[in-house]
Amino acid sequence: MAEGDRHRITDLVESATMSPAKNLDLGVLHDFKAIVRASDANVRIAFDLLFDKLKKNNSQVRYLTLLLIDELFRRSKLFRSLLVPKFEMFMLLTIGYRADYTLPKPSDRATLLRATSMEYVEKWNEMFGVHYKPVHLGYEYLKKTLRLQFPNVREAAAMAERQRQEKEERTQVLLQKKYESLIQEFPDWKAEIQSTMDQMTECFKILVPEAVHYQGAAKEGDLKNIGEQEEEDEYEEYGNSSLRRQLHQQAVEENDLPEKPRETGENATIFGTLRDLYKLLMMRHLPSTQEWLSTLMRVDPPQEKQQLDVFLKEVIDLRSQLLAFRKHCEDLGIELLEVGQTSKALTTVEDEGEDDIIWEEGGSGFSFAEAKSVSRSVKTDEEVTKKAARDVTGASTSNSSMIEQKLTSHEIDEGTGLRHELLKEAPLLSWGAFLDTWGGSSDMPANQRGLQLENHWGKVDTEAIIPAEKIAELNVRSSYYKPVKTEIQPCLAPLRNGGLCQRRDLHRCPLHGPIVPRDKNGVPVGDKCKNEQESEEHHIGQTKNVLLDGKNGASSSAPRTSKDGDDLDLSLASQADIVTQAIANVRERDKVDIKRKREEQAKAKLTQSRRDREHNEAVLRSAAISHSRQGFGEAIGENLDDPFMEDEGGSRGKRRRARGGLAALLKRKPTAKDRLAQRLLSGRVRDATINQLTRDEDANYREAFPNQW
Amino acid sequence: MLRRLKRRELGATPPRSVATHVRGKRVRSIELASHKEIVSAHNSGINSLQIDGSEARYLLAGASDGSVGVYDTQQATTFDSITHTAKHEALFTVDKSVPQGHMYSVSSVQWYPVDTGLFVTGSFDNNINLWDTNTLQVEQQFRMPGKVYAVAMSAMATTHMLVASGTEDVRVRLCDLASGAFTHTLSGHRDGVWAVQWSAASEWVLISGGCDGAIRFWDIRQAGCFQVLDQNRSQLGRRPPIVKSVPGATASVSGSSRGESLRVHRQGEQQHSRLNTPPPIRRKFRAKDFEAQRQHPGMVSTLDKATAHYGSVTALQTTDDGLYLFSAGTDSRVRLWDMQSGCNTLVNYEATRIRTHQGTQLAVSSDSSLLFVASAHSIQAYDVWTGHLHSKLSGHYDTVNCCAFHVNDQELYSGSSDRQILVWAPPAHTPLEDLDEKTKEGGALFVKDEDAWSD
Repeated sequence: MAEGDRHRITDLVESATMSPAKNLDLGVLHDFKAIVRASDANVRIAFDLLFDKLKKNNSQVRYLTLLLIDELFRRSKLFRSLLVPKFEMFMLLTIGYRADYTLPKPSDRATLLRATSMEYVEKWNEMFGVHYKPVHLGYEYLKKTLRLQFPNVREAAAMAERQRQEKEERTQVLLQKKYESLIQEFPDWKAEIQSTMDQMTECFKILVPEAVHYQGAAKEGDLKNIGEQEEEDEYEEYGNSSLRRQLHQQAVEENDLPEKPRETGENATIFGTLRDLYKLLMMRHLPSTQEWLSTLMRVDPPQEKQQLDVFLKEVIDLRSQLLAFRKHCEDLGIELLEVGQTSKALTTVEDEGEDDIIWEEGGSGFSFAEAKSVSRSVKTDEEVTKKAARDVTGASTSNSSMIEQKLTSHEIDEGTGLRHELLKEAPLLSWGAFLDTWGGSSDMPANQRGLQLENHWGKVDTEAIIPAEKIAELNVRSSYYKPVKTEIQPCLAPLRNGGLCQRRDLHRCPLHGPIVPRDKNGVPVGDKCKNEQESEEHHIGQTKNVLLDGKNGASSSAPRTSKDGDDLDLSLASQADIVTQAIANVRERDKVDIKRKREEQAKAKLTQSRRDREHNEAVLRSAAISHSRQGFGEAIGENLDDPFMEDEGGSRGKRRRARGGLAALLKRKPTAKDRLAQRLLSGRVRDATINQLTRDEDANYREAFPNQW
Repeated sequence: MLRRLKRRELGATPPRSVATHVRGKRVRSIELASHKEIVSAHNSGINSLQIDGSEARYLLAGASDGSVGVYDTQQATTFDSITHTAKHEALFTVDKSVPQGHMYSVSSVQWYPVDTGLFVTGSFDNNINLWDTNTLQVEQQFRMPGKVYAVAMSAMATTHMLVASGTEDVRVRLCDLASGAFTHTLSGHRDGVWAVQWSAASEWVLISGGCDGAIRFWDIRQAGCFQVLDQNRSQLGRRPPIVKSVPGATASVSGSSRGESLRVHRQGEQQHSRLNTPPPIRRKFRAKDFEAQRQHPGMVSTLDKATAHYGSVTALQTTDDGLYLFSAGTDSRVRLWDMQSGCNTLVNYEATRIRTHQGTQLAVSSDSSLLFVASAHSIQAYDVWTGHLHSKLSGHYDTVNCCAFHVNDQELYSGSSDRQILVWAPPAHTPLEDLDEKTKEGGALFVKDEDAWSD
């Protein structure tokens, strides 16, 4: 039995550690664990085998063995007690922190092995470090003494957990505070909301007396139906500053169902009230209930669980009621004024209640006042701006797809009546900010855009007003210069290949001179009357004209023809002949002229180059002479023999001559070294000469004055 | 155990036998202590450890970064309730930031034997410092000619307070703490001295072991060394009767006053005469004044070329009764010497791996039953008399440099290059099961040490 197990374990360890994969084969692992678990003897066998495997000179084998060891280490106490005495060896083999125990190849697996092993050591230290001191000491040694970087998984996780908990605590404290205040305020709030809802219900009832026959249905359904009926009507009356809204109203009006109740003078006040109530609902009640709800859901009160539940229930009820009312109002077409405002309101749901309230007051005041005035004023010009508005909708990015749809449907069936005719003659305006306050003549509050934050620099003057003329000034319609696009005429001068020049230049073709109107053959069609008047003057300088002025050449040919021929209706062909003749003449003369010029230029060049060459030669010669003198003549202090000088000059001359030809390439040029050698040589010669001279001089002196010596 | 106590109560056994028995048992069960932990305050390896002799309470540790720390082995500074470990942190450390503090590695430390008010440290910066424990200042500094490898004070001295120092220099110098001067310069070694130890039997006898492999015995009252241990001179079995061996007698080379000379002496003389004719000159600069030195009676022993180890002597340790001497050498041998006869007892301590670049410390249990040898990364506990390996204490992850035995608690402290000071103690009373329960209460992350087969 034991032998069988041993074989089995050996096989399993072999097969588990032979794979090139980065993970253990789960099946093999399972079998391995099962068989090792069977008895303590098997654990010992497995330990011996694994430790042997760990000594294999291959990081991949070691890595897989390490995975197996980890599996057993975490499970078997016996295995731990076997491994711990050899823990240092284990660490050396898997982490290789000592120079004489480096990890074997392959290197990528060695890295993996080391990382994994360190992770395991860390993990084991956490799990069993208390019981197995060597593990703890080994970990400490690696960390504190060798200062290896451990992955430190637990620390990181603990840190994250701690941070999360702290945050949780903080929010819980805040929530607790909110909850307490909520408990105090709730009855008042509830009463207020209830009264608002009552009022709204009343309004609905008054508005739709004919909805009585719906009484059988639920109240909610009733209201909804009313809403559907009156939807379009509400749109019409509901003021909005944007032109698009106006358009939309228009569209709605045209689509109006006849049976829908409209807002009349009688029920206008009711609509107004309803609008106010809706505003209140949207801006104050809904966000606050939302906030309460979230508070109640997140708060975790230490006691009064039941109270919390009751509260929660109440708030949820309240909120659902409010939502129902909102839906009715929206069905009736009452909406918040600006998209920005609405979104703001929705976002502030998450914010603190105070901020919300402050903002809300400002926003409502402003939008209502402005909306009404603007809507009134715009109504007067609406027919004129209709077309423009269509342009507007096309250009602007519309937020409401519904509106657009309606508009297009409206466009389709607009085609009759006065409106249509007016539309035809209405000017087309491009989109601009001025359209926003079209025809508006009211003041505007300066600090109530719904965007300003708490200004910490000082108090914000919410009453500040921008006067209407200032707004008009700011919204002056701008127009931009658009150049009138005209087609540039082609040159159309006849080309040599029979075609016409197709260059398009504004005034003057660089090839054919100024652009004149020409016929289909390329012949300029000058106004002939003018030609007749000017013919006399042109006649005198005709030849000259043809020669010099290419620009007028073509035009001047025409006068000549008119003059020569008595008949003004000279045939086009003869005229063309003359013209071509003239052109030919001109070209011939030009050619001669150019030729002469070229010859002159060539001659000048030749003379110039000859002069240059002479000058160069002279310079070179003088240089050569002076150089040779410097080398020899000066040193010796007397003129050297002519032949020598000539030789020097001659060699230079030769060199110079050779410079130009191919032979120069073959000839070795004197390098710096050569020149230095030459100089040195001459220096030596000079020294020798000086020596010689002084000696001679001495000898002469001695001979001359023997008694003085 | 109870029977023993009963017998002791009845007076059937001699007074000390129970205690001896218990101590012996405890020593033999020594292992890595899980209940006690010394938190090393040093940044590098520990070179030397010593427990003070007056209270057997304070552990003095010298480290390679030049710092010296003192640990209280009895009173834990903190107690980790989760792991049930008492943590002993350093009471204080002194390092190079203190004026005159050691710049380089502290190679050896030594408590003042009378009380814990002073301690002596020797360092590789050539200085021996005398520290005041209370002010943590250097009280005296002795400038040595070379690196200091070992310092030693006699535990039983009543008439002198000399610090023996082994340095790079061949001479052993004795520094007098009372006067602040060198009182003795003992010449005889032919190379640096790595180990010095005072005899536990006589306050005048100093033992030194050098890199030349010689162990020399000095009587500080007279010139020259009186004994050189020779590894080839051995005795098996019982040693010769003690009656005849009078310590001073062996030293006299003149032989005029002492008529009866021991075998040791005779042999030494024979060696001397044998070696005299061809003077083996190891150091050429010494050859010049060799003749002059030979005239001096104290220098005669320098001619004794007997060696105790094939290599440097790295550690010396006497047994508590002062009868035996252990020496360790770079030949990875530990030898047991009979101090009286000066013979190698030929106890073969099984394979050891003693570090070869510096001196170490050996530790002997108080009843002279176990010898602890720092061997590579572990400490090997040998049976003193048979030389068999009793247990191998492994827990360090780097070379173990030194070990010190705590007599009263039967604990062993070991210092290693992995900068840990480990405590080896008999198993504590806290059973693991108890510990496990408590850990569960603590809510710690580690798990019970049990089999956990999930599948």
